[in-house]
Amino acid sequence: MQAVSFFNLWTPRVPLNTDIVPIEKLAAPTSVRLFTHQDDAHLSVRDAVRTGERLAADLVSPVTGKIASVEPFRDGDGGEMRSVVIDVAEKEEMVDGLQPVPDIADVERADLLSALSDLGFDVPGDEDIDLAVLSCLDLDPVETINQQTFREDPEAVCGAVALLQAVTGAARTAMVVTEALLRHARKHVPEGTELVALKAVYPNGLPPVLLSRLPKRLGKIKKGFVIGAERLLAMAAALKSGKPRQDKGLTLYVPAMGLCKNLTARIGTPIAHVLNAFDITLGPNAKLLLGGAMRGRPCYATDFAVAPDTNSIYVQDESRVVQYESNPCLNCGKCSAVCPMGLQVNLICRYAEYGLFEECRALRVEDCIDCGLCAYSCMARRPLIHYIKLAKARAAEAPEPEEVAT
Amino acid sequence: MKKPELIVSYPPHWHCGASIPSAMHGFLLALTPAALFGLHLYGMAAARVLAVSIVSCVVFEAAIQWRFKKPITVTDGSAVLTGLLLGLILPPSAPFWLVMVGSFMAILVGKHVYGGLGSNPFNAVLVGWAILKISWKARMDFNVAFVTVAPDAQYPLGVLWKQGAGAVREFGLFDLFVGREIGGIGCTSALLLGLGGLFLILRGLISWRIPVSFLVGVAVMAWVFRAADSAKYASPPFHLLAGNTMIGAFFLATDYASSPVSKRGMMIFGLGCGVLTVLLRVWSAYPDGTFFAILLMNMASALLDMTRAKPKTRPAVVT
Repeated sequence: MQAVSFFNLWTPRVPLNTDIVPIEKLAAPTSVRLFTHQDDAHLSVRDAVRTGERLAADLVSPVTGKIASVEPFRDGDGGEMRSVVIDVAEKEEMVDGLQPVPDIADVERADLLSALSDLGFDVPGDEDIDLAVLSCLDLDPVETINQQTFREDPEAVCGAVALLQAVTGAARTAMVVTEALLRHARKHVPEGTELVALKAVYPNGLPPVLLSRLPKRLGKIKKGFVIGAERLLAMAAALKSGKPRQDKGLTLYVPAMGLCKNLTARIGTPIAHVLNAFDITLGPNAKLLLGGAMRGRPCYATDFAVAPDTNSIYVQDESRVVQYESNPCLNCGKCSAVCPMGLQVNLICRYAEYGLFEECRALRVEDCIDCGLCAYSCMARRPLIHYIKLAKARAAEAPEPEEVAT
Repeated sequence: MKKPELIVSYPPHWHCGASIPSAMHGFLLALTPAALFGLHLYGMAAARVLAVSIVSCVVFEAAIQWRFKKPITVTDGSAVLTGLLLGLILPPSAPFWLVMVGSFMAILVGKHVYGGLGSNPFNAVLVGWAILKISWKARMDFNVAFVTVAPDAQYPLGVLWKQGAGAVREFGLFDLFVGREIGGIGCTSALLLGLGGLFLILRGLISWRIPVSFLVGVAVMAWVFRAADSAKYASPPFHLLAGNTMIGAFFLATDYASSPVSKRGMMIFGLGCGVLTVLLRVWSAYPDGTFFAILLMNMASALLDMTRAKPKTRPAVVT
């Protein structure tokens, strides 16, 4: 991976990993760390917690046990969260009132959404979704979990399209696979669902890009819903069993050890537990990344944990760490050429560099999806995503410019 | 257990591997065949011009950066490239002081007064060249300059400019293609410059848009004139192969800082350069207008980037 050929034309391509990587189950840890963004949750140490118990508005416990600590926690971007550590009890106890929903055909959408919410899946209840897309593409070039989920059970994944339709209330559904998976998907895709193959190239898996790359025959889309195969299948399984979301499928990628694995890990599994399970030692000045090579959030310690949105754990050793520096821009224009959202990145970043955030907003900096291709391609190795994040934050702070009367 | 020390930084955590030195080395490599051909044709005279221009560009860049109290970045190869390009567009008979004045002007007036690499609104090499061209007309005139080197040879565009299309029949298109003509040290061989340009495109160092639209512009404009009066105006292939068209299209118009970056902007920029090249060859006071055409279009490049199409309205995304 990340082998760049000598000849690669004007815009570099970042292929997705399409290798077959079987999914293994990771042994459950003895204590889990969960995160909540809510401050008002009344949680105290030594409280007993049952599986499926709602601990905060955005947190359903995946385990049974006792709360060992509740403390403030900073994520790698400096954002504040609270972490809840639970020592897992030997015997699992389900919270009362969780019912399986074996047949979704005759369930109202609102009831389905509330059932899913109780099971730990927060699905937005937007009304006017006109296309719901099941994506078997992965979000990052180091990840294979969505592709593998499809490979291991194409029938179940295709069958879950009915659930997708019921959850979103969308008039139309589509299923997006890589070109290599198209043949398998044809056999199982349900009637009435459009099957689309996209190139296994980053950032085709990112929802805004994915929607914009859909073929014209799907018609105009005002509002689209995109969900990955791994998540949709977990939803279907939870509804069927009436058990809350306990596990998360993710890719573990440690190129220094030649290690690439797909795992099912208990939500809240500390990263240290995952590393120990495979005897991974972190060298000095390594990077520990949750969410991949292009958009991954860095961890400053191994007591971060697997969250419901953790699609991959990537350990990058010191020799592969890239340094971005505030070099002057050459104006080569590759950043603008690779931008999947069609932004003028060269101008935005120069404006941001000199504090002209109004100009950044005029160039629609808020449309940026942080895919990172601009900085990846920059031959001056400028920290373009850093500039863009600064510009976005400052543009959001400033008051809206007044409409000029014409 | 000692806690591991981890690096925390913004994404992305990969990089395509390109760097300023590797890009500059790519350009130098692409120019090497043309430069070697120039050395083969003119021997020590050409070697002297190239050596003086490269060394003086590097020395002036270091001196200016030191004087302006800026980080000294001569090792990135950009000054070497400026020097090489300047040397390649000069006649082999250029005296050392002329080359040095050109280098100094290219580095100072072309590049560093605007803030250095990446900030120049005009192609730095051509700024140096234009100052020489206007200040020392005779020394920059190929017909005059080649009297000592190749007394019998005539500069094709000079002949066209003075005597019209009828007189340029004596120049075979194949001779022009391989470079059997007089001209700048490295400007004559359309074949070698084209190969160098192809290398740049395949290597991802330049976009195909500017050179292709440049050449299309030249061909279309030449065809228009040819259609109007075939006795007076030269054919499109002659305009494409003679003079500085090829080095201009592939190596000078594509200068990063002074050319547009949007797709549409690049196409208009290239077309404009090509059309102006032929217009200046036909109507200006100089036989070859390629470089002035590029300098003129440089002025428009910031404007051309504003012609970019408005971003499409995209579907709202729910996840």
